[in-house]
Amino acid sequence: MTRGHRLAHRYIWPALALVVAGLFVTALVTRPPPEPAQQAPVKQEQAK
Amino acid sequence: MSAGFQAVHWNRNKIVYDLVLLAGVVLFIGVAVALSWNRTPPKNAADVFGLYIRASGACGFLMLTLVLCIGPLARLSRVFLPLLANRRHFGVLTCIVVISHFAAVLGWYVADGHPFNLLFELTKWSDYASFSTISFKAYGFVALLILLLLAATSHDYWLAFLTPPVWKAVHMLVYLAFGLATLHVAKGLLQDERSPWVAGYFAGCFLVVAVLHMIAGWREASVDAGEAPRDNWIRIGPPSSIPDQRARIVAAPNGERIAVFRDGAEIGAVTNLCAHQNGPLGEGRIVDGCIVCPWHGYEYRLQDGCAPPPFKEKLATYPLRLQDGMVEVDPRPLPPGTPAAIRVESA
Repeated sequence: MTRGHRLAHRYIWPALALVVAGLFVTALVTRPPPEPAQQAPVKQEQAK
Repeated sequence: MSAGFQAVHWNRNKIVYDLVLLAGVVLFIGVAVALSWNRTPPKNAADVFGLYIRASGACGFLMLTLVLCIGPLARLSRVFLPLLANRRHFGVLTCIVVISHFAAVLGWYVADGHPFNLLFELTKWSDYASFSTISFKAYGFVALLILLLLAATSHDYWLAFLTPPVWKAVHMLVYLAFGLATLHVAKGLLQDERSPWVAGYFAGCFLVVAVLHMIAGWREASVDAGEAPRDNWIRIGPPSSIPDQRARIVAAPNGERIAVFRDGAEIGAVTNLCAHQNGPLGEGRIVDGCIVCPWHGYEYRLQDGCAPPPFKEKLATYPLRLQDGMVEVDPRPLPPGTPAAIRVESA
């Protein structure tokens, strides 16, 4: 690799790691809460 | 080197390498689909496509991770150098797996009865106003386009046509594709999949690649700092300080690296950049009087940096001298193919 490519590598990877890690964590933190569990017990109640 | 098209030269090693890779892909996707099928049997055609989408996506992500680890691992240890030789085959197969992933997505939309919804989702421009509203499919689609570009230009024809520096710069887009693929997973699969192991797996893959590249980059920073020449000459040391049939690598400040090889009593200095893909020639060795690039085996004569006939590649050479028993190199390159090697009494 040329000196320029090595220099680019040295700057690109820390920047890319920071950006992707930040957005990755943001995506996980801001995800909607899980959907409630199935309604099976309610059906049993109705059957009674 | 000519920009004329030549088909890939298949040999036994390449065929075995590709068959092993292909078997690994089929096994990975097959096992992943079978396990998912067993856990959650599909109820319709869309569900079947869904199983393949996940399996091929996981396979493509793992392949991209592995292919991106090869470069820095080879920089850190020579043990991994053989993996570099057929890395482009690995990359192209990765692209094929990702294409099959995209094809399954299209199949899912057709099976769902809304074949054009993907187009509508990707072209809903108002969604691109903030990170939270951008569809995960957009990240994946851009990553796919990048991988297609890289696979299409992976052949040596494009390497010669674009020249190695430009080709290398274009192919560094793979890092962007990897970042986009990671976000594609984070905003897609991980929105529903709550297992910390799954999130940890994808985050771990990205971290391994990023950390390996950073370590490899930092380790080479000291060599790039270079040595200040005295009277335009950089001192290498006594001839015996250069390992026989190997090289020592030096650089002038802000200059490209120079590989100073010794073959018995003959010493020659050439650019460290292979004419093929800018591979690190100084990490190669001399075989039968020729410098052999550690990446793809391109050969150059030590005397003048020319590839042996019928090949036509030439390397820039550097003037050498023996001063007070010390080998010194002038960091100003000579025109490619200029004879510049010297002979020393004893090494």
